[in-house]
Amino acid sequence: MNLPLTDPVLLAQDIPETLVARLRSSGQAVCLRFSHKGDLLASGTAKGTIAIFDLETNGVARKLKGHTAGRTVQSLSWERSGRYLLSSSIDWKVILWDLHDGSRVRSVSLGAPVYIAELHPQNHLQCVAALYEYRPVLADLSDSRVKQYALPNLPKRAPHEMDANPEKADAKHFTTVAAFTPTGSHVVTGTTKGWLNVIDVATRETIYSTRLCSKPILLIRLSSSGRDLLVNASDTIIRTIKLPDLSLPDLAADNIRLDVEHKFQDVVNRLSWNHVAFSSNADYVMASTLMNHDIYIWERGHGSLVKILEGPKEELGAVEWHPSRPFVAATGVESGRVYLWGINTPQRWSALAPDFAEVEENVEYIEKEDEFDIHPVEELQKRRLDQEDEEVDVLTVDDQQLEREGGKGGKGEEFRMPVLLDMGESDSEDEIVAIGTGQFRRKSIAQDDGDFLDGEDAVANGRAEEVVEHAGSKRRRGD
Amino acid sequence: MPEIVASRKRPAPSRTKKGTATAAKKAPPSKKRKLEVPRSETPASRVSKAPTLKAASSQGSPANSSPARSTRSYSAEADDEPYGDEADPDEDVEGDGAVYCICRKPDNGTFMIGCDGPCEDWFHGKCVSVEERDKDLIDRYICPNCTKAGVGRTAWKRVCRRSGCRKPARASKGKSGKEGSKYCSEECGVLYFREMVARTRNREDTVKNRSNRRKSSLVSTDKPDMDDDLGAKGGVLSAGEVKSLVNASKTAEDFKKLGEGVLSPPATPDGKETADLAFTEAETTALEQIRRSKEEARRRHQLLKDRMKFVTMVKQAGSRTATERDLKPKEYCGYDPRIEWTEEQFATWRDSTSGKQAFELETLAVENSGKEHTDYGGGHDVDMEGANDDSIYAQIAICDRKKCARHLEWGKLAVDDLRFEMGDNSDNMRALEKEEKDLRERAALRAKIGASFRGEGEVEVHRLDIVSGGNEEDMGVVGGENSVEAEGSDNLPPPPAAPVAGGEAMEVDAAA
Repeated sequence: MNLPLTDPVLLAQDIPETLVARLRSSGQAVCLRFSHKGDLLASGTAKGTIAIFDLETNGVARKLKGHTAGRTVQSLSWERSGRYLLSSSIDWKVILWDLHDGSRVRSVSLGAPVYIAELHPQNHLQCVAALYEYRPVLADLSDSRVKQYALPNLPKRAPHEMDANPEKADAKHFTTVAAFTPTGSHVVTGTTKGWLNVIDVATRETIYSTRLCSKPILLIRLSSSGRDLLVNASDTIIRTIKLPDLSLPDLAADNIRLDVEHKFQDVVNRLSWNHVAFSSNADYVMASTLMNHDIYIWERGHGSLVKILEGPKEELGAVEWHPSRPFVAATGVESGRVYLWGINTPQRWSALAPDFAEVEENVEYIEKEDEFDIHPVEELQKRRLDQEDEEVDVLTVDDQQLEREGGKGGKGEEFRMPVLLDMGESDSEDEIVAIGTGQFRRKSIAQDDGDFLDGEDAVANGRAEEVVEHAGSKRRRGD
Repeated sequence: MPEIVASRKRPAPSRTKKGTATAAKKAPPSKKRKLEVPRSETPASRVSKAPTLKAASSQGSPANSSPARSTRSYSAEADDEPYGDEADPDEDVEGDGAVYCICRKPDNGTFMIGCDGPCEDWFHGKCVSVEERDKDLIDRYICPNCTKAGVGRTAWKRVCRRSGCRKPARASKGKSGKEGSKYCSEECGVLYFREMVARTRNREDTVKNRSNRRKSSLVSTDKPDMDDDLGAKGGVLSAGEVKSLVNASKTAEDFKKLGEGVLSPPATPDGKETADLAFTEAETTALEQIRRSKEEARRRHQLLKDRMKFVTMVKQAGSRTATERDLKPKEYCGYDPRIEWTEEQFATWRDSTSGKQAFELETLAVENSGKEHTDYGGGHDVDMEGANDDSIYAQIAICDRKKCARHLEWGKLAVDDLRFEMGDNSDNMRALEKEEKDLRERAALRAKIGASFRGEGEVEVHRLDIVSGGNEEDMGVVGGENSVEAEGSDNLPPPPAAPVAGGEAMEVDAAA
């Protein structure tokens, strides 16, 4: 959008206001993640497919199928440049997708349903995953023989803090969430008993633990700077914590202190929070509510509630804030749609032509003496030619404008996801796939050997596939 | 009525005469008749035409009576001659001796047609080449004399569309308000379409041969079909096609061997072309790649099947152990961590001796330690448990927890997963095959079009050694080929027109 044209007042607004769009791809969206550049929105469905929306068109750019059908996708994690995407699901697998062609780079089964999996910020071949009823793992996806390194579940306790029966308590102590710090040197995890652990990646040991509450920790998120930590726990309190800079080499484990900065809570209705997220610059914290239809946004300076976003009349599951713009996406729990909130910029007519001006009231315009003179053709021609001879400056580069328009190619690898032209291939969620006009067939159950007979024989024999003709219109479009 | 004359001698005119003409014609003879009425009751009529008179009278009205007939009644009385002559010098009123037509011969019993022009003369069908069967088709006949005199030309009616029907089509609105039709009657229309539908080489016998038995020439058999013929379609050949095949085969031996080859439809990719195809470089590399990918897909399919089998084996082992330990299935997890191996790891194990053994025996008896120290990679906490000298199998502990929450429903999960992978693989394979097929077809089409176009007709005869079933296919399409080549069109499958081509084949040199 052209900055000069935007009303400066609006520019200052950094909280979205109104519902802008509703997206739908076949399947119920249950988790969302914006790409780091902010042009794509990945959503995982309850059926195991992943739909990637292009935010410029609000359409489905790609569909990724790889998780076992019927198992919900639990989490998504983007790589810096936007080329790789890590998805995890309750089918025990984490899959690393290459968005260049939509193929699976790695697919690993971790031995237990995965709660959340996050990619290492710098290295897309490393990830951390929190597992259900199991210890978290650090997985090295560098080559096809994936190496998994277990991370400790248990917090580091000072001897005096130990419980009477450590084994019994510890047996049920599992990690529910894990996240990398921005440099990737440490992993912060939350457990089922309300503990927060800081684990050193190199040694794979917990170097610091603190107990926040007695209830399980549902979600932790780090801001992009890595200095703030957002924690959502089952006790309906959202905590923000200021993290020390963990990448400092001289950091001694004993010197770490994690103090809670703010506690956000709904005292009026005692609402609990489904999902929490930071805003793009971590000034705001937002959360979606359980059994309610709103999104609450607090401001971190004072810790006060600044906005309640309303939109659809349904409970919202996951909420995410765009990495740079005041733009929010949320999934509806019942409908499975993705709702987008943004700021509506009204038209600024005065920006369209040099002598346009916006006025408060109607002004009586008195035209000049020569307003309606008919100029001879030659003069108009001459005027036009003069204008054409004007020097147009195409060489100077305005960096600000360039950045706005996304032309910055210098910094790091820019990856643009190629457009998939054959949407028919990836479109259908259903049993019936189109082959040729008006003809459909049931998706192969894959038990038959038909495809794998030698060469021509397979073609000659003709597999007995069910070809269902005119099975009704099965086209789906992203609304 | 006395004027009804015996028609036995001249059956044609009485039956085939047209109403209008005769009606017009009636006037002058009727004049005569009136005059002669009393006379005709004279013994003259009785004498000569008595027997025929009876027959004639039974025939009904004189609507179609010919003037000759009436004149005959007059001519029956010999003494009428001078009288008749006076009254109408044009017509020779002399019984059977009345002369008509351009040949000035009397009525000889053959079909005659009356001119609707001023002369109102009668003409033998044979003299003016009007066939009797067309008599209903003439709208207004103008004899050669009148035509020469400039009176006009004969007007014909449209004939009914059905082949063999010589009745006029119902060209204008009929009595019941029906629109003009191409058929003389409803029945003809229906029959026409029936014939067309039945017009395959096999079944045409029943329909056409009956009507064509009278016709001796073979060529005329084909003519009515020219528009609608669909070719032999694997059945009986038509004469033209046989002729073109005869021309194409150089020797009698060749002709005999025609049935062994497989023919392809013209200008479309052959079903079973093989080695002769010249692929471009890009195509060759692509084909090679496809072949390799297909190999890979096949191998993977096999591997996935093995995995499925493996899962079943694990389940069996699990239930066995449960029964051994006297536990209910729900209480014993039975999950074997080997299920979560990647395909590579699994493939490695599969090829190992223990793997092979397991598959042969179809059982996963508990393996002893002391087997090979193959490193299967990170199935487990290799690091956490430190370097483990024992066989890897010692680490593969079957989960035996009660109500194991972590491995809940691992069986179903594994099966679903494998099914999905197999489906994915199948889709892949299908896509590869399609690609390969397209590529080969393109090359074949290119070869065929490029090589065989010579600007003149020829018969395409294939003699392939690789024959599946040796079925005698569209030989009739051979003719179609001719028309393609002759017209010089390329890449368009021609509308099959075997008889047309049959005709062409006769003229064109078979360059095969």
